[in-house]
Amino acid sequence: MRSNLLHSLQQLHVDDAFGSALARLLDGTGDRPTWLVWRESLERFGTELGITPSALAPFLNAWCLLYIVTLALDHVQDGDALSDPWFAAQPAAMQYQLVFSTFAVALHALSQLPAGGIPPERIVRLHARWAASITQIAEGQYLDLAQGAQQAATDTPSQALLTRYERIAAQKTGATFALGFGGVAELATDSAHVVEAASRAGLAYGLLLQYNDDLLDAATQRDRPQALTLERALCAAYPEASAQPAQAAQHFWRHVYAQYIEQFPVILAPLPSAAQTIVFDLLRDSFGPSLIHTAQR
Amino acid sequence: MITQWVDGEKAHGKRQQSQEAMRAVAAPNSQDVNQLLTTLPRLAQIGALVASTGALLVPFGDQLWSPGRGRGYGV
Repeated sequence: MRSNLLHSLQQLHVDDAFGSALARLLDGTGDRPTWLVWRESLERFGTELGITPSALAPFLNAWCLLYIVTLALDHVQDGDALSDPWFAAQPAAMQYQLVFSTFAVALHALSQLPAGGIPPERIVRLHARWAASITQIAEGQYLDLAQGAQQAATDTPSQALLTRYERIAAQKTGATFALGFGGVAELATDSAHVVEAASRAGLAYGLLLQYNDDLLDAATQRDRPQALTLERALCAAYPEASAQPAQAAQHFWRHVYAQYIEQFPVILAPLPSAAQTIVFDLLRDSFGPSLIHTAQR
Repeated sequence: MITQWVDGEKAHGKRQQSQEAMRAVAAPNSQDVNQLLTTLPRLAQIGALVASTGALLVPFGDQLWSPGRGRGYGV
């Protein structure tokens, strides 16, 4: 799977040093990255919707590159620790250059469509979806970066901060996974119901991933008062949570997760049962098993 | 001159038809995450419900919860 991404890179016929630098960014630290798990899930999801892995490959390569580049950009802009020591050692200008270059490679990977006899109108829809999604991701990142200044300058009503946090999560991680699942469905079928169901499932999964990530990173994010996190938004909405913010946020997450899990059978209803199982497996793998059994019954 | 103007109008008409056809296949609703978000449970509503029962400050129960693979992968 990782070699598919590097193959996309080789097809660019770029200068060796430039290609090696991009490959370092894509190859990461050498561990099995989580995006490979998502790629495999998306590929199996596509198979259950009737599209072959080879037909999906250009889109999945592009999506993985988009995810890698979005995560890298977010870490660079937030001043987060960068896991790859080589990338971390680069000057900021080079880090931004590599991020931009990887996005260019993602576009190149997408240009390998059509593949596997996909009808042209689906390709048109996929390109429109891709363009809309990256615009939303860009807007979400802008809102995330701008919110610190706006928060200081305006008297935000308490619950509005929770809604604002939710919107940023939807436009960043949510939009990324809505594109992943929705894009696979877009290439696999002409059914608008199936495509919408896949997009909603992706959005819901992406939101849960963001909320969960925020809880797990809460301790380090407390050192960044400008960051709008789930814990901070919750404490602004409900001052009683401030007494024990970490516990309150974790209790809140469990209620949110329970509410989302209840919705998944409704969201996934238009999809074949084997495709639904892939989504439930991913949820179980990402967030734990307990509530999934109830939802699947 | 008139021929050029007529050809230009024809080209403009074809371009408009093409753009409309592209829009027709684009199915914009499911591309807009803000619109899709309205169909999911909302944090403010869940928060209000949870806070009204005092459950923000008490454990949810004995359900299992594991960190899973999510750490560091939100963007």
